[in-house]
Amino acid sequence: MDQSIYSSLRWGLFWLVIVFAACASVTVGQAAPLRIGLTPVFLDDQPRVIRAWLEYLEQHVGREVDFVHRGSYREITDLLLRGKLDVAWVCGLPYVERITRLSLVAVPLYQGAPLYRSYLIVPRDNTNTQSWADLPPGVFAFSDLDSNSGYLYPRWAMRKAGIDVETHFRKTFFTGGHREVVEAVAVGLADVGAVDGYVWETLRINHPELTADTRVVAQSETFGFPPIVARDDLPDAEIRELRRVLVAMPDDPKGQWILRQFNLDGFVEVEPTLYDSIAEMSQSMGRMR
Amino acid sequence: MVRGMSYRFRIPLSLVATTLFTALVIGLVTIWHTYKNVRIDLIDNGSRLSYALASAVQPALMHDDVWMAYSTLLGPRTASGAFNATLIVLDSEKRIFASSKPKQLPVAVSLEEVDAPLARILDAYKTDLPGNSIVEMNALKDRLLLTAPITSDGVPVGALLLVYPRQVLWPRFTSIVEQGGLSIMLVLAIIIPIGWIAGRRMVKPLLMLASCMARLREEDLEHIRCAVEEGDDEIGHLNARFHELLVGLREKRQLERQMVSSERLAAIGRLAAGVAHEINNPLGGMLVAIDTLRERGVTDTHTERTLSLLERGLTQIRDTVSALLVEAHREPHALTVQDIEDTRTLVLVQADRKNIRLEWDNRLSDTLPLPSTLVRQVVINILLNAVQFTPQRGRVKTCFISESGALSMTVRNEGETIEQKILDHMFEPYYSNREGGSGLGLWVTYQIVKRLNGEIKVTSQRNETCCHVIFPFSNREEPPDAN
Repeated sequence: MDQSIYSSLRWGLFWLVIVFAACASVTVGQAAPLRIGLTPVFLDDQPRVIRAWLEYLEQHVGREVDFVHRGSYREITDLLLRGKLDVAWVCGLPYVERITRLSLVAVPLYQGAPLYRSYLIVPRDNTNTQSWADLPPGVFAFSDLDSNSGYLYPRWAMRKAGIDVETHFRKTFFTGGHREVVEAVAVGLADVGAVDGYVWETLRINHPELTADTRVVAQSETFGFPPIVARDDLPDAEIRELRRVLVAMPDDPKGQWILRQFNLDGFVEVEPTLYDSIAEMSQSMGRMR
Repeated sequence: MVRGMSYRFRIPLSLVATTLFTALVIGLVTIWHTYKNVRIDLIDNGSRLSYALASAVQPALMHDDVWMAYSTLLGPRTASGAFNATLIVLDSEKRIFASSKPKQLPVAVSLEEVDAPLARILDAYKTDLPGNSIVEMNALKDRLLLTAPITSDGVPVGALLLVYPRQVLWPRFTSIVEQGGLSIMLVLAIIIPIGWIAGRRMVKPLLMLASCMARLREEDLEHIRCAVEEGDDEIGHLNARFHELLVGLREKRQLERQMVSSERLAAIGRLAAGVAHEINNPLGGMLVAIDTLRERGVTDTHTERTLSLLERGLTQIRDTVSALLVEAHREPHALTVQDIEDTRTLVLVQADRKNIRLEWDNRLSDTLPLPSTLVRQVVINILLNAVQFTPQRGRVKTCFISESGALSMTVRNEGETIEQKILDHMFEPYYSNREGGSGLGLWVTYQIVKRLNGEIKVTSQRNETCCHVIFPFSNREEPPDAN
């Protein structure tokens, strides 16, 4: 008899927990999830850190967050413009090219400033190349058509150095990411590559064997770091909330840990003018009118 | 070397050599097959892989995506650490679109520039692009080439080349050969000792026979025993023939000994008869002279005593001499059953004295045409001799039988075994083995038997002495007169 009372009590408790859990999930899921697009502007090959960041954002924003990955910058930008994404971490170039339809949420702080450079790299065993002017006539690896450091800037720099990309190189190709550019140059698939300086430096910490086979020939002047942007029709309150959470990350131990894994110092709110230099280059290269 | 070698080693060595040779041949055939199979496997896997990669790399080639093509080529390399083939994607111009070793085979370079031998093979197939697969194992000195076409809508747009270093066969091949070799060694380690032992067993009877034959020259025939198992094979036959030979040799030696013995006895007999004759003639004269002297009347007692002394002495000489001379008197009657039974009565007295049991088996029923006195003398002599040599409470068995024209008599007595040396000489006069004998008993017996054309044979073994006498009577010659 005692046994059956105890047993039914246990079952009662179990159902109570289930019902509470269901209510809680309904509360969180009441608002539509915040959809954030990610591009290879940072090292998105660390699933554990990305997962932790997702949980961190859900916890602090107070709603479900979805991370969306795509093969190229262009796809993410398109999704954002079509309203399929709310927010995306993109390169400065797609931002300035669609500045009227996108709002800045926050920009990462790298080495204390929201700035980064583009690196020109060659295989380690190439000891001759010293500047943009004496690039070998081999194979050039770009990262993405919509990348500033991995495409726009190197095209601009080569034009300035008087190099005709179409004729100077045997072949050029896109790898789709900065990390892959480093790999392609390291294994000798490409003779030259242009890469996000932040990514190269971070790889030097996480995967020194990759960067060890490459040599940085030249560094660009600084540009505005790839920003986190929102579609312009996203409510201001949501943008402000997300910005608050991102900017407050260094104040939280877990946020600190995540930033450390990304090799970043934090997030900051900036003016769109930070990206003027990229816009100018884009204009001068005939991409933007 | 092999010719002079003992079969002790030759046959086991032959078995071992045969085993080794078989193992070697099987090993070589296995190695050859293994090499072929490893090669077939390599080509099979390689061509499957190149087809799979060709279709995987096709979109990258179509979209001019070098990185994607390269990543695809890295697939098999990262999947198995031991993969050491070089993979090349050629575009429709036979330029390298991507390769798994970009440093040696750089992107956007004509294959001709970086690997002329490979390019020449493709040219040799006389197509702009290898539309079909090529398997080239011979034209390249140190490499094996497999190709697969990359097609778009059935039209070749490029090719995938898979190049193995020729040594790629070697590690797989050696590992299989090592395992096989180990198994063969293991089997040999078991079979070779078995073969050696089997060979030794096979040769053993042959060696025993050989050693027995070697002993024929050196040892007494009686002591040669060859413990070879009897069998129906060649060695068994050889063994049987050898034993027949041994028996024949023994019989021959026995016969030789008997001949020597009987010749010696005959010579002694002739000598004794001659001496007896020479003594008998003057002896007869001397005895007649003594009788004549007596008839004349001898009064003198001294002379009479001397005469008696002389007569006794001469009579003793005559008795002795006549004992040496076996004389055949004209027989009063033929041998009856009763004559034999009488000898029993005579011997029983002696036998009872020693508590000897005399077993008597007289199977004669008719009177036999033999001189009764001489036969009785022989029978008594032999029986008394037998009783003499039988210990207290011993046993003597006697058997008389008439068969195939002869009287056969067998006397067996217990007692110490008589040595062959004594048996050889026992019928010679004064060779007596015992105290108190005249030394002429067996001599006389022998002489009588010989005179009657009979046979006498004595054997002795295992504490039993057997004497066998045969008196033939069917076509017996009339014994010559002693004189």
